[in-house]
Amino acid sequence: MKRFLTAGAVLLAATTLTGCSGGGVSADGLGRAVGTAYQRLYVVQQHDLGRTEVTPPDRAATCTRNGSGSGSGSWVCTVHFPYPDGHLVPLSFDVEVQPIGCYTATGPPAVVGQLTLASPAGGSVTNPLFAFDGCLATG
Amino acid sequence: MALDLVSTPTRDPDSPRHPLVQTYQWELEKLSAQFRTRAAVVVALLGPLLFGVGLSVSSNVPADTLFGRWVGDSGYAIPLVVLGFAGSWGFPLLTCLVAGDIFSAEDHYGTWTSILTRSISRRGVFTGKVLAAATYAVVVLVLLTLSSLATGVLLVGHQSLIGLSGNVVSPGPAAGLVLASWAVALPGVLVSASLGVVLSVLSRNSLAGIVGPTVAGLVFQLLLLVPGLGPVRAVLPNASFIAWHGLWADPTFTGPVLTATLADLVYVAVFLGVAWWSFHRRDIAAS
Amino acid sequence: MTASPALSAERLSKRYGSRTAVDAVSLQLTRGAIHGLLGPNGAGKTTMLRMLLGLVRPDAGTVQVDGAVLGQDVPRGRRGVAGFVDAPSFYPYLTASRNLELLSAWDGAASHARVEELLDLVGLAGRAQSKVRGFSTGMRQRLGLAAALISDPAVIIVDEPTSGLDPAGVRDVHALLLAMAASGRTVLLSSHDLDEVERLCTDVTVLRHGSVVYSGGIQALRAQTGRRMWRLQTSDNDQALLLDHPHVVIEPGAGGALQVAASQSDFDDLLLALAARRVVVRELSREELSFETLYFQLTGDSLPSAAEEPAWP
Repeated sequence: MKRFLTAGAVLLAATTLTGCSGGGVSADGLGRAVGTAYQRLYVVQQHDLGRTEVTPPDRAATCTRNGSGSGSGSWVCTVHFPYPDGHLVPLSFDVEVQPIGCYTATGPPAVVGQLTLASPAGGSVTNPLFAFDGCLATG
Repeated sequence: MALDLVSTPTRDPDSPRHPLVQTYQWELEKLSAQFRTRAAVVVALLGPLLFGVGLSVSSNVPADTLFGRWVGDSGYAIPLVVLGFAGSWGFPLLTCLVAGDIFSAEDHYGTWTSILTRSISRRGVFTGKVLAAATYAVVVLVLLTLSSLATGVLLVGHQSLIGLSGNVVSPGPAAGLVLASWAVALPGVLVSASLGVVLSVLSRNSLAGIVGPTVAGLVFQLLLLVPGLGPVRAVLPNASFIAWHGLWADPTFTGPVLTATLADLVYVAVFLGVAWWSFHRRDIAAS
Repeated sequence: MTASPALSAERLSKRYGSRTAVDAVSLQLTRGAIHGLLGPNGAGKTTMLRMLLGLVRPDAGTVQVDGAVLGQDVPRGRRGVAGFVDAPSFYPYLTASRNLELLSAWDGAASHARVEELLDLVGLAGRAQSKVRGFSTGMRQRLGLAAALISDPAVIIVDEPTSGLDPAGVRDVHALLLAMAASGRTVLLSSHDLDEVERLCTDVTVLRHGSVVYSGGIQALRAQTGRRMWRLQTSDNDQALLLDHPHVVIEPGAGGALQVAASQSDFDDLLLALAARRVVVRELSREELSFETLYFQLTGDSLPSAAEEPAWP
C-alpha cells in the first residue's frame, strides 16, 4: 500500500506543475499569422481553380477577440477577398485559437467556396480557404 | 549426476564484452521474448497502415487534428496526424508497456534474488534495464515514423503539403520535416519511459507502471489545453509532442523545441534519479 | 579451528518496522565444511541468508569474505558467494538453458559449454530446451543449484535445497553438496530437515527469535548437554509415565518401550523411584541423544518439559 502511495505522490507532483500567466496570443500576432496564411492560401486556391495569373491579396488582417482582451478563444479576423474582376470584398474568418497557439480559421462558403473545389483538370481538390489550420509562436 | 566440479568457468572467448553490454543485450532478449513487446512492435508497424487504409475507404477526414484535412491530398499529412494521435495517448501507453514493467517483471517472476546475487552491481542492473527500456522506446518511435510515412507515400503519394502558415512545402522538404517532427517527439517519449521506470520501481507492480503513465499522459494532454497556463505549458513533459508545429510554420520557430527538450531532460533526470535512489537501497525481502 | 573462516558475519542485525528479525547474529563458516542454519519459522534464517547474499541491507554488523569486509553495494557473486534463498525463480518464458545463460551473463562468464555442463551436473540435461514454465518444484530446485554454481563460488548458500525433490533427487543433491565441500568449497545449508542437517553438516547455527541459541559442532552440542537417552521396557509403562521428575523426560517410544532423556544422576534417581513403586525394568539400552531432541531443546519447540529448561546442568 505504501508503495502505491509513493508512486501516486510522484505522479501527483509531476501533474501539479501548474502556474498562471496571461495567454500569448495577441491581436497583432494573430492578424499577421492569419493574414499571411490567407494570402498564400488564396494563391493556392486560385491555382487549384486553374488561374495562372494571380495577384496575391493584401496580407493585412484585423483580428478581434469575442469577449475582450487576448489569448485563446474565439476570434474574428477580417481580410479582403479579391474577386477575379478585381473588386475587393471584406471577408471575415471565424478563428478558434487554442491555448497551445494553434488556430482553425473557417471562412464563409459563399465567398471562399465549398469544402471541395472542382478542378479544371477534372476531379476535386480540397479547398484550402474553406478552413485552414495554423500555429504561431506564443513566446 | 556427475560430480565434476573442478572445471572452472571461463569467459566465453567469443564474447569478451563488458558485463554491462551483456546485461543490456540480455534485457533486450528478455523483452523480445515477451508477447506484449512483440504485440507493441506489431501495433507500431501495422497501426499506421490500418489507419491509412481506413482513411482511404472513409469519406470523412480527421479535420479536427492538425493536417487532418489534407490526408487525401498529400501522403505527408498521414504521418503528422499519426504523430498528433500518438502524442495524445499512444506514446505513453506504447512505451510503458515495456518501461512500466521492466523492473516490476522481476518482482512478478520473483527473479530479483537470482539477478542481484550475481557478479554485477545494482548500478549495472539498473543501467542495463534503463538502456533496454530506452532502446525499446526509440525502436517503437522509429517504427511508427517509418510505417506512417511509408503508409502515406504509398497510399496517397508524395504531393506538396500545406504548412501551418499557409506555406506550400514541396515533397523533398516535407519528407525531411516529417522525420524532424517525429524526432522532436523523442525526448517526450523518453520522459514517458522514465515515468514508467520510476513507477515500475516504486510500485513493484506492472499494472501501475503501465496504466500510471498512460493516465498521466492524458492528464498532461488536458493540461496543455487549459487556458492561462502561460510559460508553464512550454515545460510540460508532453510539450515536445506539440513543439514540432513550429517547424511547419513560415518563418519557422524552434523556441518550443529547445524549451521542451531541455525540460524533458530534467524530467528524465528526476524520474531516473528517484528510481535509482529507491532501487539501490531496496531490501529484496519476501514479496 | 585456526584457519580463517571462509565467510564470517559479525553481529548482523535487521529490523522490519518494530519487529527485530535478526538481532546481532554472528556466524563463522569453516572453509570446506557444510554448515547448517536451523531454527523454527520466523527465527530469522531467511533474513540472515538475504543479508549474507546482499539482498537485504543490514541495520548493523558486517559480512567478511576471506577477511575483507563486504559492503552492501559489492555484488556477492564478484566475491565468490552465490546461492539462493526461498525457492529459486526463473523466467518462465525462457528455456532452462537460456535462463542459465542469462544468469551467466550477469556473472560476466557467459559460456554455453559451462551451462550444458551444469545442467548435466544437476540432472536436467534432457530438459535444457524446455521452457521453465512447465518445471516442477524439484526441477526448479535443481536449476537453482545449477544457477548457484555458475560462477564456481567459494561459498555457496542454499535454502531448503531438497524441498520438492523425490528420494533419488534428495540423494543426488546431498552427494553434490558433499562433493562441493570435499573439493574445498564452503556450504551454508538452511534446512528444516534435521536428518539432512545431521547427515551433512559438521557445524550448525541454531537461531531462535532472531538470536543465536547455539553455534558450533553437532558432536560438541551432544557433549555439552550432558544428557543421555535410554530405552526402557518396564513391567508397567503407564505407571512409569506418571512419574514426575523435574529434570527427566519420559515419553512412549517405539515397540512399547519408553524413551527417557536425562542426566546420569537423574536417571539413577528415576530407576530408584521406579523400584519404589514396584515397577520392574526388564530391558535397558542406552542410545545417542538424537539431533532432533537436541534441536528441540535449543529452540523450545514441542517437547514441553524440555522447553521449560533451556539451561542444562
